[in-house]
Amino acid sequence: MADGKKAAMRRGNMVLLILALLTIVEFAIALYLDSTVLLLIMSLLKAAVVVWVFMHVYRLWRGEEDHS
Amino acid sequence: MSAITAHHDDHEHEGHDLPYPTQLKANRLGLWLFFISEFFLFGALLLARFYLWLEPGMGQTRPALSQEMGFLTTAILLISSYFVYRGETAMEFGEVKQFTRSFMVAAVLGALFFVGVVFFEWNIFGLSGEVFGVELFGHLKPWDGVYGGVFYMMTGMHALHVLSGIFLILVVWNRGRKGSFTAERHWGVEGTALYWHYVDVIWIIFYPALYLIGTAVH
Repeated sequence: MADGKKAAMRRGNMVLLILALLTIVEFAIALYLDSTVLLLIMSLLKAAVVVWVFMHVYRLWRGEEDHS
Repeated sequence: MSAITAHHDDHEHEGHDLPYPTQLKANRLGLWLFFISEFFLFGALLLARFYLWLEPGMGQTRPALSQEMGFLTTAILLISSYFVYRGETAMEFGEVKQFTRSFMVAAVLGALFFVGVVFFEWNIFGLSGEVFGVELFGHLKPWDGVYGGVFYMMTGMHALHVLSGIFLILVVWNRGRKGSFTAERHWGVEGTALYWHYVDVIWIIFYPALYLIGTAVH
């Protein structure tokens, strides 16, 4: 139980770090490359990470279950 | 009164005689369908931005906005999403104290984001000033052609969702504080967290569209 929580919190920390890095890279791309396509890809990557980890979208196609 | 209100208590309960897992699955599906329907609205605004801010001979353009303010508000919203995730995870393991703490931090960060957009970026009081050479207040107004119109539609619609998200977080925070949720049953917490992350996802897409893509036009 405690291990499960620790793992989930670690996942959250990792996602925050990834989001921070991607946002910085996004900012650098805008400054130095000015590529619309790259910026859109970066934002879709960030959105995908949030949708998968924070929003648990995979729960939609799991069988019926409760929160536990 | 109906059977639903007659059986109401402070705890989440099984409504309409459905087993809780079935109800939970339906709730999740319903909320995601709502997100998809909302995406049509935000998607239309995004299309308007790419269509109306396209200048012949220049390609994509954007209004000259404060890059620092855009980056700061984005960071604040991403961190608030992180705290909502922490709060939801804490509730999944029955840790009410950590849940209430995390949700309160998320609400405060959400309010900071809202203030950042409305007070500084919209500059509703017409102020001016700088810190370390960084202009704090925006100059773009809703009547400034397609730039102002699209910018205020996009940020306004998003800010409205932020405001409703903060309200939801505070309602759930209050109910959680009173012990209305358990590790086994906390759809209110999960639904609110989903909504807040959705608001975050919309901003993740809006941020480059408003602040980064295209040539800045003064």
